[in-house]
This record gives sequence, C-alpha cells and structure tokens, in this order.
Amino acid sequence: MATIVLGVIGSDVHAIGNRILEYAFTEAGFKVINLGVLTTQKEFVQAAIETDAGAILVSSLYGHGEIDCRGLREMCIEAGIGDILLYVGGNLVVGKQKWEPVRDKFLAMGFDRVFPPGTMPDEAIALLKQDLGVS
Amino acid sequence: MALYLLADVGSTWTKLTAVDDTGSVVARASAPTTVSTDIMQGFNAALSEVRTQAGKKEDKIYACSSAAGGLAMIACGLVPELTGQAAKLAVLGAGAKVLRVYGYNLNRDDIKEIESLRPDILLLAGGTDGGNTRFLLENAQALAAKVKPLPVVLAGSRNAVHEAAEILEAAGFSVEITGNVMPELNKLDIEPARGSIRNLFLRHIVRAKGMETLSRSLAAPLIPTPAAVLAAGKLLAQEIGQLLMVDVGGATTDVYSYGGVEVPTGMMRKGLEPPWDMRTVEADIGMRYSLSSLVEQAGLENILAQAPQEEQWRQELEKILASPGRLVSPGLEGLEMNLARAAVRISLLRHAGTVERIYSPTGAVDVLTGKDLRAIKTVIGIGGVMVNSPEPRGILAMGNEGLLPENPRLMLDSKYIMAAAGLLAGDQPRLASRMLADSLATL
Ligand code: B12
Repeated sequence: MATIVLGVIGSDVHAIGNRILEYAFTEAGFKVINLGVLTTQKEFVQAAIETDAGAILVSSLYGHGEIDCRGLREMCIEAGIGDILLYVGGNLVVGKQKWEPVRDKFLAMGFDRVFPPGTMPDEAIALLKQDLGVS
Repeated sequence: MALYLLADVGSTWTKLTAVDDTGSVVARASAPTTVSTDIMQGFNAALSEVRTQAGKKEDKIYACSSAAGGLAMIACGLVPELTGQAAKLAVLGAGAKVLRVYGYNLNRDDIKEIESLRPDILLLAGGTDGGNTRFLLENAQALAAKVKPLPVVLAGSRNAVHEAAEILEAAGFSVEITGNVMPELNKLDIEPARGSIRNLFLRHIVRAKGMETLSRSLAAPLIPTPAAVLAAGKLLAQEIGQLLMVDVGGATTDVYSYGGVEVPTGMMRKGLEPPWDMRTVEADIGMRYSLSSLVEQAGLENILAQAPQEEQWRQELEKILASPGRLVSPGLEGLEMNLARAAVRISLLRHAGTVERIYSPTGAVDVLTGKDLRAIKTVIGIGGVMVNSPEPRGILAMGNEGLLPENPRLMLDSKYIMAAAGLLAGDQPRLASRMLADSLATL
C-alpha cells in the first residue's frame, strides 16, 4: 500500500486531529509517516523524498494556514517530487469564511484537494485511494 | 600472571602498553611508526623494549591503528539531513574518518572527487525501508560506471540493496549488504553498518595498509583507534552513567557522548533520533593543522582576551600558524589554553543539539533537535593538550551554555589510557575499567 506523509504545518500545536488521521489512514492500509505538530515545509518535502511517499497530507488548525502552506508545491517541484499529491485540511483560515473562495485559494497554491473544517477521515481516505489508483 | 600487550599504531608513533591481570600498567614503550617500509619494524622495536621492561613475554596482543591515514571513508545518503546524516553518524561511529558526505544523485564532479579521494570504504545509503530506491540504484550505477572498484557497505533501503549490490559487484566492487542506517523516517539504526565497516576493514584495508602480519598475531581483530576510544567510553558509561569525552588534537577535535537521548518533559523532538553512543569529529577545529580555522571560528579577539601582553600572544600565534610543528614558547601557556578552551567549546556546542522556543498564544513549546547533554554528569578530557596543560580545568570548564552539561564533574585521562583500555573492553572489561580508574583524575 502507498506511503503518505502526515503532519500539522507551521507553529501549530493542535495534535488531536493529527492522531486521529494517523489512526484512520493506518487502519485503511496506508503506511503513515506522521511528522506530528510543528512541521515545516522542508520536513514534509524531505520526508516524502526519503520514504517515496505518494501523498503529503497537511493539517492547519490555528488559522495561519494560508501563510504556512504557500510555496509548498513550488518546494516539491524544486526537490524533484513536483508530481506528488498534496492534500490540506483543518481550519485553514481565521474564523468562519465562505468555503469556495478558501478552497480556490488553496487549489491555486497547488493543492490537489482541500478539505473544509470537520471533514471525516473516511471521506479523504476514499478520495486518496481514488487519486492514487489503489483499492 | 598473564600479560596483555596493547598496541596503538599511530600516524607517527607506535605506542605499546603492557598490563598485568590486575590491570596495572607494567611497561610502556613507543617507537616511530614505520609505515613507509614495514609497520613491523617500529612495532618490533617497541615490542622488545616493552618486553625488557616487563621482564617477560606477553600472552596476548591487542591493537588499534590510525596509521596510513586511518580508516578514511565517504558516506552517501539521499536527503542530507536524513539518510545523509545517518550515514555520516554510522561512519563516525565505526571509528572512521569522513572524507565527504554526499546527498541526492552523485554528479560527475562528485564522481571525480570520489575517484581522486580514493576512500578506503564507501558507505552507500538512501531511502527508508519501503521508501525511495531510485537514488540508491542510480548512485550504484554511477559508481560502477566511473569509479575504480572499492569496498562498499550498502546500508540503504532494503528494497534496493540487493540490486545495487549486483550492479556494483558486476563492476568488480566488493560489497557488504547491511541493515538500513535509517529504516524508518528519523529512526537511526547504525549498529549493523558499523559491523559491516569493521568486516570490510579487516577483509580489505588491513592488508592494503601493510598491517596483515601484525593483524595475524592479535588476539582480537585490529580496529581503528577511534573505535577503541569509543569502546572505552562505552564501558565507562555503563559503570558511571552518562558521560561526554573530548579529545583535542592537532588536526581535529573528537567528541564522544554516551546518553543525552531522552527528551525532557515539556520538550518535543524534531528530526533524526541521535544514537546513544555518538562520535563527532570537527575537522576544522584543532591545535595546529586546523589552527587558522579554529581562530577564525573562535574570533581572534576572544583568543587574545586576558592576554597579559596582547602583542606578544599575537606574534606567537602567527609563528605557530606558520609552522604547525612548533611548541608554544615558555611563559605563553595561557595562549595554548585559550586555544584549547575554544576548541572544546566549539566542538561540544556542535556535538550538542539545540532547542528552539516556539511561542503560541497559549504558551511556549520547546523543540529539541539532536542531543540534550545537560543531565550528563561527567566530562572527560583526552589528549596531549590537556594532559600537558598546567590548568586542564580551565580548558574543560564550560559555562552552562546551550544544551551542554550543567555543572559536570571534570576529569582527565591523565595517562593517555583510553585507546589501550578500549582494546581490552570487550575481552577483559574488568581490567579495562581498572586501567581507566587508574588514569582518570578528577580536576
Ligand atoms: C483543543 C484546542 C486547542 C488546544 C490544543 C491541544 C493539543 N495539543 O492538541 C490548545 C489549547 C493548545 C489550543 C491552542 C490554540 N488554539 Co485551539 N483549539 C482547540 C479546539 C477546542 C479543539 C481542537 C481539536 O482537537 N479538535 C478535535 C479534532 C479531532 O479535530 P480537528 O483538529 O479539527 O481535526 C479533524 C478535522 O479537521 C480533519 N482534518 C484536520 N486536518 C486535516 C487535513 C486533511 C488533509 C484532511 C483530509 C482532514 C483534516 O480531520 C481531523 C480528524 O477528524 C479547537 C476548536 C474546535 N472545536 O475545533 C480550537 C481551535 C482550533 N483553536 C483555535 C485557536 C485560535 C487557538 C490558538 C491560536 C489560541 C487560542 N485561542 O487558544 C492556539 C494556537 C496554538 C498553536 N500554536 O497552535 C481556533 C482556530 C481558529 C481558526 N482557525 O480560525 C479554534 C477553531 C477555536 C476557535 N473556534 O476559535 N487549541
């Protein structure tokens, strides 16, 4: 089964959702490389290279997602893994904002899928299997 | 009564120590190392001297060597901070000298450099188990195509090592496949690689360095000198708990730590988990051959601080820089001490990890990278600079800086016994610890 890299980006310390995602994706058969909270873009990219991951799943809960996530796709391209799947979810922006503009902003940054607050892991698991072509 | 002979074949001197089975040193002798003719010449000269002193023939001989350049290696990994660092730590932990560390794909310049450096052994890593295999295979191909065969330890992704071995063996390389230095992300496992380096050292390097005859007379395999020092420190740490040792030499400063791997409560670790017994070597920090870079790192003004007559020290420093063989002039030992102190401080700070405090609205989080040495209770000084100093305490005593030990007990290997004791650490640990106890002086 495919390897995925998981972590909470930037100075964000919200750890609970991260553990739930690790558990859920492992149960679903993925090899999960969990970098935990306080993960930098560089750590995500380096881990993905070394482990030959098929996707990077980024969480951001504390409202600074936009600043933290900007440039991640470019860094992947620089590092030679430009084709890797990038997912992001959590509470991506401050407060309750209209979802579509938020989603579009992150899609424009180069994320393949963007998940709104409160997304259940199963939903993402099904989409990831589809995107990776595994069952 | 049994007599053990412990030989340290150094780059310039071959030093022999004889101990009886109470662990007392009964004889010591040295002779110039004769690497250009036959290593046995110098060895035998010291041997007959030591036998005369002891009044009898030895029962067993153990030896380590750093002659003919020591064990010189190159490490290749994938991501420099991950398998690159893991490969480097494995090489250092085997007692070898690291000539270069490469990451990602070896390019043509790297290949040319490897060919001109001609390491004794190359360690090829890259990829976690189940992880990346492409870089390891491509690097094996590049080496096979362009580099004259050399011994290679394959310590990369388990899913690629066999194929990489085939590629290299087809080109005439001798290869040993071993466990991955980083089987899982950020998890270090360097023991298997260390073992394989020892094997290849014995199988290929001992003969190449003209030490086969010596090797045949030994009770245990010949090992690189730093490996003997590592073993001595490990034995000591098992007895007295976590410790740190620093060896300030002319060209490099070596640091050995045992412990410092626990993450203190309230802290969070990021990056590679450091090995419990860790050796680092600072190639730009030394008292003679690396003096200019040491002074640069330390800052000239810091070296000259507290000089009774600054101009005098400055001139002396210039003379030493111009001729590294020079001993410091009488009366100016303070300069030598300041230099050694700077070497210790810089090397220990590089060996230790770091903490970064990240502030959030709910409070601070401390993120730890590398080793936290603060709880280490003992720091041991090794080497001529400290043994010959009128004030070794002044060289070793550090402020409570960064993650360095907080108010440790300072000790000195006053009789240069580390390497010799390390040679007995495996077979005769009781004798080895007596030798250490006898040499270690609390400062
Ligand atoms: C517990 C908590 C904390 C704890 C965290 C403890 C810990 N070690 O985890 C503490 C007290 C430390 C904390 C601090 C802060 N918090 Co807080 N915290 C919460 C709280 C109450 C619960 C978070 C939680 O654990 N939820 C349960 C888990 C299971 O859900 P989850 O994290 O959302 O994750 C799930 C999904 O979102 C999804 N998911 C998440 N990531 C991804 C990624 C992908 C790819 C996919 C597919 C899915 C996915 O799957 C997860 C599992 O089901 C939330 C409010 C809330 N009810 O959500 C606020 C909240 C997240 N915190 C908030 C804020 C502002 C902060 C602080 C900045 C200051 C403050 N006011 O306290 C600091 C920031 C500290 C820092 N540097 O990170 C805000 C964020 C606002 C925003 N984004 O606009 C929230 C929403 C509260 C609020 N309504 O204001 N917090």
